[in-house]
Amino acid sequence: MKLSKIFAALAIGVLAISCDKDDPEVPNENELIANVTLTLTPAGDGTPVVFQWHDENGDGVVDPNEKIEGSLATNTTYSAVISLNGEEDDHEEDEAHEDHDHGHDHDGDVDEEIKDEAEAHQFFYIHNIAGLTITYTDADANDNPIGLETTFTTDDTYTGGGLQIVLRHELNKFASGVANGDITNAGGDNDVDITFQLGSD
Amino acid sequence: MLFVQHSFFAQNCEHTVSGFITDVANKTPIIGASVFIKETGKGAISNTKGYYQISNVCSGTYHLVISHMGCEDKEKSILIDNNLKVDVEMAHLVNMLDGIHLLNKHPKKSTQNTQVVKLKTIQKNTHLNLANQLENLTGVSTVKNGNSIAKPVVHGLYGNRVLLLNNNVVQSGQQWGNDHAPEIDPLMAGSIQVTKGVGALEYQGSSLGAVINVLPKEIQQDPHLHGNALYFTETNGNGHSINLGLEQNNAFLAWRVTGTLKKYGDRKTSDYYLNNTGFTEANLAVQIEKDFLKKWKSKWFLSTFNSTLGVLRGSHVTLSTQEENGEPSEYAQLVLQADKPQYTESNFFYAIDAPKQEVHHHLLKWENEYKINEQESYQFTYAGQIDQREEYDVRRSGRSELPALSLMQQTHFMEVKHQKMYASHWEIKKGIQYTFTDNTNNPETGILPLIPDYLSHQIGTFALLDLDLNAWKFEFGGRYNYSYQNVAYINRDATRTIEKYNNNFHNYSLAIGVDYHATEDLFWSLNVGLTTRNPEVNELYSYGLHQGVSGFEIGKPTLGKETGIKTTLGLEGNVDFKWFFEGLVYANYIADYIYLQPENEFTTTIRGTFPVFKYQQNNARIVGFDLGTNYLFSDAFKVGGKFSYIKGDNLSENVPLVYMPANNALFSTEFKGFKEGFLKNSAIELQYKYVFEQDHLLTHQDILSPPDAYQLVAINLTSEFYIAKNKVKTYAKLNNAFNTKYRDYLNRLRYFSDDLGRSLIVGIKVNF
Repeated sequence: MKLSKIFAALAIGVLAISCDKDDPEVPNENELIANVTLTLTPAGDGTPVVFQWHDENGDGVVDPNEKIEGSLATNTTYSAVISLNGEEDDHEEDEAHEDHDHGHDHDGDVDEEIKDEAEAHQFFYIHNIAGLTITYTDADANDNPIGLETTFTTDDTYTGGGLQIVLRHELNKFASGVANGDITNAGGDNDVDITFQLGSD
Repeated sequence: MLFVQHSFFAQNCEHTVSGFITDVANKTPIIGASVFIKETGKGAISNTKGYYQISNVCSGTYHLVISHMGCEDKEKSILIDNNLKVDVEMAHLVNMLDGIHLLNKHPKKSTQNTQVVKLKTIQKNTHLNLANQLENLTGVSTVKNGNSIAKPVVHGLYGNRVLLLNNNVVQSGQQWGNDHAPEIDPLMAGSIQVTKGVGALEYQGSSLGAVINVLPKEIQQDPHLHGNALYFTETNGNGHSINLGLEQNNAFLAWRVTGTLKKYGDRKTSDYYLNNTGFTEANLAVQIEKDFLKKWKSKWFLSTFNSTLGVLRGSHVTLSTQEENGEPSEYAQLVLQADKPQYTESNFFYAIDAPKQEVHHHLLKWENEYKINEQESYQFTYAGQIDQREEYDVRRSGRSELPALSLMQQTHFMEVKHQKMYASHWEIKKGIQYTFTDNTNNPETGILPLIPDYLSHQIGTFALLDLDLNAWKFEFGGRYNYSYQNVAYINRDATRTIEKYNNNFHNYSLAIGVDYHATEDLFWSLNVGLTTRNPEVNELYSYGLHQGVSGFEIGKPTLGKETGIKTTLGLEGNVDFKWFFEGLVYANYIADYIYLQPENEFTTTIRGTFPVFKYQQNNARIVGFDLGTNYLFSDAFKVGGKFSYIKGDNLSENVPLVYMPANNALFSTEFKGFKEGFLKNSAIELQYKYVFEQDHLLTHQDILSPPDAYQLVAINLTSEFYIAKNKVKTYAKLNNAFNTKYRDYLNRLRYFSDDLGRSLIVGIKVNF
């Protein structure tokens, strides 16, 4: 008898509690890198060549069809700018919402964040493409390269190939070879690690 | 004033306190035990018959302290107004033989194979966390993520399959993730029990692997205020800790309060500091017991556990793979083959930065026992738990201050149990239980949660039947458990819409156990258990990159239940109370075993290419045996050995199971025959541990092959003495005495760093 009474009390308790979990608030993924755009502008007045990697679901799997790749000409010098852009096209409502919230901080503007913490970031351009030379043209406060801005130079042996672009944070920028773009001793943690196929005109 | 003087002189001081001191196990007299009255210091030593006598004691209330080398001291509150007989049973042999049972009568309530870590052992290892405390039991090992984050593994199973109880309450909040340590302070415990069968059907939750129950110390029957203070320090990590306990048991109320503070800095391997591996801990537990009526006893238990745990900085690096063949990338190779992890500093630090975990766990338990008569009783229990977990990653641009995972879990548990004895050899226990769990992510992280928000309801009922027939003891048990999960999952496509999942699971368990006392000194036990376990939320809906293991983990929403059948056969015995042995053979078959399968595919995220791990189900088999033996040359000298063997296989794919503990052996020898001088009442113990290489694994099953076999030597010294009638215990322990460089297969940091080097721990405990 006692048992059944307590059981009844339990049953009432159960009914009083919800059976449906409230919808979670979707986190504002302002850290997300959704787009990597590498723009190569040839010296003079040529048309820029654009490479783009688009990843709309964060840590999810990248759809290789969302890649845009282009071709470089031989014997040309390009000034290159890489830009990491957050959820620009993907979360327009969110962006609008953020603006309401607190003006415009660095939300989604990863380039700005990298510049602010230049001593802790560096891009590496890794390749063994014949006839291609990539040099850093920007520097942090310690005069070490960042890699947001570079120069790509091709000579007449250039025929294209794979270019791996890696962004590391919390790396050792003073380690041997790092300032020359050698990633071997850099350490740190990857933010970006992608490969573009560079074509040849 | 005069009156008081007068009454003092009128006191009768002619009383005698006497009695026999015997061993609780075999009822033989204990010779040479010291018995004394704490207040007056008057005492006696037990003779060859175990008899002691203290004469000329005045009337009054006193504490009688009984101590014998190697036993826990006993203290009894006595009231003397006449001659008094006090017989005392001491657990002498039991204490000589940690982890081995003594078997005159059924020493256990259950036929299940249970091992106990006793208070004495816990206090000798105060520097260890819960999982590491259990490591010296045969068949128990730990999965670790560095030294401060460890989780027990019993017969190869852990996590969701090992039920962890804090004072009989299922611990909530740590069931997923191998890098989540149980939020329980072992210094609060009086004993820790490990039940290795499928049994323990009494508790709600999955017990496919084993049940670990952390029980608080009983409040002594003593109306005076008592307590203990403990301090220890450890050289490796420059750790310090204090623990204070106070208790009183008067006519109105019995209570006990225990608190612990701990602080450690960077730990050290045999030759370098492990950067960011310190931790801090602050815990408090309150026990209150009150008898309202003769029949109704109420107990409250309140505990809070708060910890900040650093994770090796060098373990948060990207171990990406090559796109073409899945070999670790050049950078990953470099990390895996490095002598030292990245970010290794040449100095020691206490500071804890990201990556780190901040954990808070609070438990409130209210237990009521209502005795109808000696044979029948009811129990009603409520337990509420709050578990808050924040994990910090190394993130860009100051975001390391924001947790990358921020979870709040609430659990409410209610239970009614009924217990009744029939005709003195039948006992039936039955009960009904309900658990509500609510798990919520805090969106402050700015990261989609690895584990979605969910709530669940569970209703379960069980019945256990015990039959006790002299040499035979039988146990039958059954359980049914219904669980409902409502999951709110954030979709990973660009729309980030919310998907709701409703899951209903029915779980069943059955267990049969038989104990047979072949002779007074030898007994067999056989257990067969069948149980089902439903997939947990992490197994169903995980999605994301798991740093440190460098895998992309994907849950499988269509997973079904797993069904395990485990058989254990145990033999325990002794020859003339000199040679003690125990053996346990087990076979565990699990149909639809859920595990993380490394897929032969790679996912390319913007952060690199990673191997994909998907939750899968396959049939698995785990077989093994545990052996333990001790030989007592005399009261003063014993040697012992333990060996564990285990082999796990995935039967469906005909490959070994990953993350099975390596086989290991432990030898120890203890000497405590120091008669005189500084080492009087001291024991010295030498331990040698050999861990084999885990060679039951194929090369492609891990990015780094399992580490080599290793051997460790430890030396323990414990000493007891009295200062101003207060008992003082001191201990010193030297771990990894030869500063051996090694890595352990189940320590996840083995990909990055060596394990701990030499360490000296010195502790002192005062009882008052």
